[in-house]
Amino acid sequence: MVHLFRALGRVLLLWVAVGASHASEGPDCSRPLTLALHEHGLLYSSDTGSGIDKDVADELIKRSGCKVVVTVMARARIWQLIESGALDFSMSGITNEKRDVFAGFAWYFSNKYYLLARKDARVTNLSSFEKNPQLQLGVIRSFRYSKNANELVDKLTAQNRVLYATGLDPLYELLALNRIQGMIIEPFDYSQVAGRSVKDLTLIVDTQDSSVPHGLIMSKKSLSIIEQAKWRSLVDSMRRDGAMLHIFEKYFSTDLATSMVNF
Amino acid sequence: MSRFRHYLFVALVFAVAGVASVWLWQHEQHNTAQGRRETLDFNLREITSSIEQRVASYGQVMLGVHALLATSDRIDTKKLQAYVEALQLGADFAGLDEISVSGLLPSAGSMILEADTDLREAMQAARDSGRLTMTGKLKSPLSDKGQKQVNFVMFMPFYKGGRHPDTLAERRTNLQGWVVAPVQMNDLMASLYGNHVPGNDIKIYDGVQMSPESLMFDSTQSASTQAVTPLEQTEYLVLAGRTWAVTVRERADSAALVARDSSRLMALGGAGFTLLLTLLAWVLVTGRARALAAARVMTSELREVKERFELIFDTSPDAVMVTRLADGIVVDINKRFTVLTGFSREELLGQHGSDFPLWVDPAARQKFVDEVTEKGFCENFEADLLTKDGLPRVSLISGKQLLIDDKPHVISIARDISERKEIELRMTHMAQHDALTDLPNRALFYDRLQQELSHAKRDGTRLALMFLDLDHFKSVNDTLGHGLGDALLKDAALRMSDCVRQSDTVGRIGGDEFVILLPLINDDQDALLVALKIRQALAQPFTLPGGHTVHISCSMGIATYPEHGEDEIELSKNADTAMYQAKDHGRNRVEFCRLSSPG
Repeated sequence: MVHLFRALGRVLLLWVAVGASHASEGPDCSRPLTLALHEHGLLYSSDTGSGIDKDVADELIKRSGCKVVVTVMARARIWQLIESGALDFSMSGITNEKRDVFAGFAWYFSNKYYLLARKDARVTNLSSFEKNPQLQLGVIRSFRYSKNANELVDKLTAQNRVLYATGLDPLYELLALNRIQGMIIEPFDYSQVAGRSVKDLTLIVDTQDSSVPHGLIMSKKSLSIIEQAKWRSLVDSMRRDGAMLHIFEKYFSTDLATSMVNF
Repeated sequence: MSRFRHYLFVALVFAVAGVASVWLWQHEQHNTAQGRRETLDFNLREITSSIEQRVASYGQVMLGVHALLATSDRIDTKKLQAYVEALQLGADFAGLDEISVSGLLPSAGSMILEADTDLREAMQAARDSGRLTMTGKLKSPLSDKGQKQVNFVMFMPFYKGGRHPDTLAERRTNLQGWVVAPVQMNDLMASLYGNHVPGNDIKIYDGVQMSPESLMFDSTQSASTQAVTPLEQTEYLVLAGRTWAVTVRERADSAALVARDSSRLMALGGAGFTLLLTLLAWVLVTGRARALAAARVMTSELREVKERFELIFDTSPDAVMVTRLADGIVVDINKRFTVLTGFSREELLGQHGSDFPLWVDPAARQKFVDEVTEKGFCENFEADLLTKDGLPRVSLISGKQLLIDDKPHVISIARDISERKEIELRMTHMAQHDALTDLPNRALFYDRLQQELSHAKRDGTRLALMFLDLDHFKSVNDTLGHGLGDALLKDAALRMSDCVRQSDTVGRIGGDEFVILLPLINDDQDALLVALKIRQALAQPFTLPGGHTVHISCSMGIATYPEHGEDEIELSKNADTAMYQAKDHGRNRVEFCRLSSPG
């Protein structure tokens, strides 16, 4: 048994060494790669053409030296294309069992999810939101969140109490119109909330979930394990040399940015 | 209490089955609704995804124009037109009627101020973001190209040098113009789905407010009555900085509505199942009670039948006896049997039929038993039975085999016809005898004469026939009256009967005419002796009631067989002739037929 573990250890070391040697070589840029952004708060806004994801993507593209075509599309479509291999990358993805089958991840920040609820809905926690059948939740199609938030979304979906949108903007409007009474947000959505009329109508409810890592999404169908390792190495280098923190500090306070990037 | 328990159990079964059926029905309803929701949700996703891609593809085309502008030093309308034509945009781009470039001027920013209010915002947004933008629903028609009405316009900015400036200020300063694409919503949707979206009605609104003013597209067809309330779902689509509310509603011909609603069938089936189960429970629970009730009725009917049978059995005017066929043991008798025979029930039950002296002739009994055994029945078997006291009773007996407790028995019914027989005998006697003298009358006498003639012919024997007439009898009637005359006739008949043998016959065939048959004689002398004996007996004085003494005589004629005739007519005629000869010769004498004397 000991011999077996030793043998396995050698194979593993060899693989890591090979991966590392490949990573040090940089990604394969022999073909144009594709990357999709989705509009989501501070991650990316087509109004300004900027956001965290765009900055991270730009830095990654720069470091890779590859030609990467960047497009903006809905999150649901991004996941479909990643699964089919028609799209190579996307940003700020979180994993689950299904996604792990077709996607690899290179984590670069972690944050918690919160419930943004209307004050007049008198919601104090996720359970009180679920128990009131009059309350509707707005979600972005295909979005998954942290454990408790996912459970809430799934239960309300079964009760037909969920309204879908492909972006956050309509959800804020619907929240203001009281057509929905809650939506799940992340810290990088705060600025949008702060700049809208819903700010005074809503409050933030803790989901009691821990932070969830977000990362570069890589299609397993279009990128080999070795290529994924190379891109993961690039992301790690950004975290190591402070480039990642620098980007986040553009959008958040230093403390929050640090807590998000160092996980 | 028991009945209450039954009702409670049946009610419980009804309640459980009912609750189960309702649960199943609701479960099916829930599943159906869930299925419909999932189908609708799937359709909505497909539709929004298609629209998103189609708009994105328009953006790609505009990006192509943008690329052309970026890579060309000088561009004019002709070149642009040639480029767009070279793209060979097919039916997929039907909504994209034209692509134009506006603001190819150094001061493109001033274009915004001159633009229509509807367009201005999108143009500004495009300029500031450097990205594709689109207007909301245009309030007034933009196009003057006939019927087609532009619903919204897409703008793609392009900047000096073909680059995308990094800052907002640079973008505003370096704006050169826009690639402009007016879009017709109906054509866009038609390029996706044709005239009708299968199974669904689609409405697309500009913005999240769904009002007639913001309605950009409506595929709703003429309203149809729908048995099921159609489901409706809305998704908010973010496209090039605008939000569209896409509402999808089930149509009556939707497969989800048509195929999946089996809940009504489930409800009907459940109701039927509940009723059947309740009925079954009722049948099972009340089965014993109903069986007992039925048994009571049957017992009552059986008792009634038994009583009726016993009544008939015991009040029957006929004697009835039931015996086992196998061993002849008496099983039952009725009261009439005891009355008829004098044997009590206790005496006969368990006895063999031949153990008691019921039948006068045991052979007759055996004959009756054999017939019943062989044929299964015997009807009107006349036999003489003996009472316990030894008195003979003529009976008419019928017997029939039947099964009692699955074993063959014989039921024998005896009717006492002794009195009837006696009456019959008396009537027969009266029909054959003279009422006054009780002697055989003419009919019986000639019947016997025929019989004896047959015997005589067969045996070759002789017989004698005598005719007798009382002399001067009329004067007795005339002088003493018919009463005494009759008394004389009766007395004379007795004397004549006393003069003959048992085998001889004396008959009366007229007022004072008598006949005597001697069936067996050896010779004429035998007949003559009897005739003389009778003449002598009648010659003795008769003492009649009232003390009258009368003397009479008789005249007799004799004919013998075969000498004086072969048959009764000839014999009678010759005997009568001989008698008249006796009268002619002075009466009180006996004459033989002259035929017997030659010459």
